[in-house]
Amino acid sequence: MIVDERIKDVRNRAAAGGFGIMYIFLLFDLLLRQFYFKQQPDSYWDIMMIWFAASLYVGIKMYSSGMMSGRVGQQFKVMIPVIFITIIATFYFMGEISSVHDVIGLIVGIVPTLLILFLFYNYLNRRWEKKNEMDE
Amino acid sequence: MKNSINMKMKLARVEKNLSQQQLADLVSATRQTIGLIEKRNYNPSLNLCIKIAKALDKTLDQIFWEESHDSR
Repeated sequence: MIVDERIKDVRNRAAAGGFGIMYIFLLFDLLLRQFYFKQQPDSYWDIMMIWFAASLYVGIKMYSSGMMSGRVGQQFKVMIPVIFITIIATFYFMGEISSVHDVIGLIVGIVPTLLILFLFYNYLNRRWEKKNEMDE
Repeated sequence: MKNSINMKMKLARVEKNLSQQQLADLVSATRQTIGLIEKRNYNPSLNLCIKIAKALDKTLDQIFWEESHDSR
């Protein structure tokens, strides 16, 4: 059976659409479990891991294919405050934050994670730029 | 009025006495894809354009270039 570029293209678009739907609904499911059903994270950690793995995969693909070339720093400048606010707000609404110490604890936990993510994505982007001779 | 069929490609194919299926086999595509390209309902990649041009013994210009190109 011949699989030509048009069929591949349609197949890829269908798969991407399906992935998008699953990604959004998994996130919706996680939020629902967390905030509406008040479930403990250890009862849905597997779904959370799938969602994080998918997010990481999308990030790796985007950064290693040069989609973010020249915009990595700019991207993280926007991402870092958004992630900070989201995580702190989430924990606050869950009733996990009662003092400044808790906030500091969260920041200490978030900063290394974001730093590792930034360095990793930056490395992928640099590698792509070097490979394609776009180093300045 | 804009011609909605890629006549250049169709004529080149007919000149070579090839059916859509035969051309498709030559360029490793499906008959449906060739039909859609001729009807301008699918924009082929440059690779496929080159394969088609080579199979029809024409240049890319002769088959795909249009003076008043309508990119859709």
